Amino acid sequence: MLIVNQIDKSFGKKRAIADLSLRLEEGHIFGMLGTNGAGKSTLLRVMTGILKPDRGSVLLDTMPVYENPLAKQEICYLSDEPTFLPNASIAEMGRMQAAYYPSFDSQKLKELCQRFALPMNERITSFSKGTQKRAQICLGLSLNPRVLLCDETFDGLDPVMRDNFKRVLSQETIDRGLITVLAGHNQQEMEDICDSVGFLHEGKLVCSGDLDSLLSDVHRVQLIPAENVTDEQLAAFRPLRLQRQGRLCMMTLRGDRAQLEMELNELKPMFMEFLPLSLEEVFILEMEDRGYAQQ
Amino acid sequence: MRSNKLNATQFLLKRNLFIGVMVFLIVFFTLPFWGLANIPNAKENIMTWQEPAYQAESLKNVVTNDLLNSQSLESWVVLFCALGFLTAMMMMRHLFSRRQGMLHAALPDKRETDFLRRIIGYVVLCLAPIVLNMLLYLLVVAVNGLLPYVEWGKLLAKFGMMLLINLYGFAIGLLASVLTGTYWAALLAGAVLIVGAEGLAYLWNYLAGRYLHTMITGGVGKTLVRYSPAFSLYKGLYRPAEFTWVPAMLGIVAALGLSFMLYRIRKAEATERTLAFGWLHTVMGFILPLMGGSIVGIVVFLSFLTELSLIIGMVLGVLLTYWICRMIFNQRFCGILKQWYLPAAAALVLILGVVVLHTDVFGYDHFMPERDKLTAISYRPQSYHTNEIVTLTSDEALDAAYGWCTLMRDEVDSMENGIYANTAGTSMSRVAVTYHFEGRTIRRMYPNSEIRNDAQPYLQTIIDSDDYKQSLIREFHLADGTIQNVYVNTNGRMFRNDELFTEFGVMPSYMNLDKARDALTIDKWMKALREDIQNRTLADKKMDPIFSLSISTRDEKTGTSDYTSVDIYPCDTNFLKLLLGDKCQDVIDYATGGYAADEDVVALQVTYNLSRKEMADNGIDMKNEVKAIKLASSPEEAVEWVRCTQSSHVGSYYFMPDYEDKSFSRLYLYRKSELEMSKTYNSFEIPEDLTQLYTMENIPVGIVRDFVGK
Repeated sequence: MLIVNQIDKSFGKKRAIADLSLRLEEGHIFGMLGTNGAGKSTLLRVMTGILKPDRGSVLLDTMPVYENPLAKQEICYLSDEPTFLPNASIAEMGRMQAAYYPSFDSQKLKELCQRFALPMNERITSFSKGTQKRAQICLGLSLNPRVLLCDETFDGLDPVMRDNFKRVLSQETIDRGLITVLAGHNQQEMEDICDSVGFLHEGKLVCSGDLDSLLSDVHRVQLIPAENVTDEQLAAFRPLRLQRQGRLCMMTLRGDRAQLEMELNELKPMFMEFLPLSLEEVFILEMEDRGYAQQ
Repeated sequence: MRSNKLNATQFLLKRNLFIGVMVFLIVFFTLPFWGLANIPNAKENIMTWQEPAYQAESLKNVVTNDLLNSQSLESWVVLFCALGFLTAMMMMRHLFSRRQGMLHAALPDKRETDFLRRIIGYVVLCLAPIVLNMLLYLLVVAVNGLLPYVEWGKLLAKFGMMLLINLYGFAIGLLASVLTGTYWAALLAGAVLIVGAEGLAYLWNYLAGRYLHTMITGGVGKTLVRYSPAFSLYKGLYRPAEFTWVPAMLGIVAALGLSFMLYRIRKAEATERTLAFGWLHTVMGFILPLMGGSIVGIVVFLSFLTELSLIIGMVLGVLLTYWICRMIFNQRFCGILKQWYLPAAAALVLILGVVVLHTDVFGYDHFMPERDKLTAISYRPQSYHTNEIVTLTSDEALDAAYGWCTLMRDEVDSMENGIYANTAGTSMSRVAVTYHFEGRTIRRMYPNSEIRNDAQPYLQTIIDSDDYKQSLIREFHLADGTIQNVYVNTNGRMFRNDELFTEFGVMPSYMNLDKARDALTIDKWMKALREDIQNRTLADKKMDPIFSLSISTRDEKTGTSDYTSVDIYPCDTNFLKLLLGDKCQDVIDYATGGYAADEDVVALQVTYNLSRKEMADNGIDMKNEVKAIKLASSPEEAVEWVRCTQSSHVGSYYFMPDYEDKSFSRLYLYRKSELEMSKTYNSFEIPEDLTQLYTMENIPVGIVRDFVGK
């Protein structure tokens, strides 16, 4: 289990992470969505043990991660900018990983390279950006980590490789109980493979939970209310959004669907329909709710 | 991918193997390759041309001294320090790239272990190639059959110093890398760490010397050798036997220790920042302007030569340096106002420093140890004929020396404070004094510009004391048997050198002695000189020397060599008899004034209205204050005048006595033949009335002497 316990991290006067806690179980894929500069990369670097939190701690089971080789051996961080030793090939990087990580599996690296169509003995810097991402993924997975922290890893991958990666990730999660954190802006990928999702804004985890419950908490309702229904009556529902086109109202509401349905029926609508919301829409609503769009 | 698995240290070494190859090649072309290129030719030349007796010495020079001559030692210091420094930077290069820094920080490795790995990397990739090259050099020597000619003690000591310098460079390179986050910032930090404090010490030593009348500025080099790691190593390479271990070892240990501690706490996000630690902004924001202010202040002062220019220069220097620092630290153009208190504090400290020096707040010039606590006083008159370093320990001599020093100190007290203190005194006679007390020494340089009678009793006691005489005998090596060569020189203040030959057939430069040939004569001369020194009085010292002896010595026990010069006075009759034989008395008579009897000589006695001090203090032209000019009426009178005068050379102020407060007289000697020769060139006519010679411009004056007590 990976436990992030009330961590703070600042860079100068800028507070990148503020009192953030998180708990991730084995075999769990956690998606982390956030606004630009929300602190996603910083959080991942703190979780990897690269950055030292100003306050709080990150624990792998009971081991603190920072400056702890035993814990760090179990964690792999795939950064948003794939980084390798200067002029190194995948094979050379593999040798470095073999020197530091006891769990490194060179056979697995070979297999992954074949699967992701990567040459092992060419200089990585000669690869395209997407190919470098693939190399980074292969090298990361060949460590057999218990925790995989991915920072915008899907970006730059073509759809085939993205699908390939998702499949490998799912398999590793099932087979070894891999804990995965996927940070980025690609909600579609998150919806596809994440068990739970968190929204990060201004260094805080403003909202998190199972994907299903997160999506079932916010609803878009299309309705034509009775003629005597006033705007004040509609506003009483505290809609996140309210749009009117003639008599047709479009409301975005938070809460239990059955309860909302019952209360809205009291307005005796001529027509009422609950429409599904995507993760992206939920994220936008949450951020707007916190005044992000106005900023 | 090959399956041979490396551990982390092996991997680090393999990745950085190119550093080892580079170090090896660089040192190879400066050490074994130098031997390959030079030793065979040099050996052949020596074997072909030199006599067998000298061959061994020459071969020793080829394998040891030629390689390590003083010119190449400068390069060795820079080379080995730079190799160590750059190796450290290369081993720490992950600290200069954000992405590489992140990659390294993510690795499952403790900082302590990683640091030690990089130390091992240095040993294997830098130190080992250098040692290997040293061994290769010895192999080259051996292949040429010159191994028996290697001076092992000297060569190995120098090799050891080279390795130590390399280690120091590495330690400073580590510290500079850990403190910064970019390559160029690390280079700058290295420069500041290696010579920053020393540079500041030099600058302020220069300033202090300008302000304080009694400060001996030349001592800063010795002080730095004692306290500065860089200086002690630099000097140590020249003379390994005199190497001061403490500062160098402390410097290395401190730099390594500090690097280790700071590396442990250095944040990963510090890469690519100019300074890796927040607190360094405050420290550097103060220290660098302090340095910049000192440099600019002195540069501006040297242009305008006023105290105001010094202060304005300092303030401008502080502001400019701080501004530049801010831009460098932040890597963008930025204003000067943020943390304005740092340059303000630096400027304040500099101005405070100037005020402290100007007012001599701590009483540096006035301070003298209490007489009761003194165990000895050493003094050395500057600008004097010879190198007289005298140490007095007996109560009587100490009392006298203390009294004399008090007089000189009082003279300093009467001087005005200011920045020109020491420049104004460059033409002064000076006495360097060392007070020995309670296991410590304090050194002062007293100006001795005033000629005063009240110093005479003290000088009389000092010169009559056995301490003084024994000190001179010791100083000139007259009794220790280490003298190798003695050369006799004429003292040219009284007559032209050729006159001794034309008058008496004496050619002093032929009287050179070498221990190998003339050991008995040297012993005889030194014995006679010892006796003469025992009998010298203050009155004798007031005479001008006739000859001086240049003495070179070598102490076989300690391996040290020395060179000194001894004045021979007319009173040194034992020695002069040995040197001149039956012409002794004639030479003495001639040298002490007889030369003025020549018809070619014109002697003028000029008396002035004011004392010399009054004229000097007020910048009065002596020619405007002439009271009377008298021409010697006969050769006998000219000789008499010479015999009751003393040389007016500043070096003689030390013994200058019997001076009138309100007026004084001078003797001017001209040579008619010289006047004749230069009259066309300098466009003057020789006047009928020879007393007018004194007021004429551009005429050659032979000798100027001061009348005693007139």
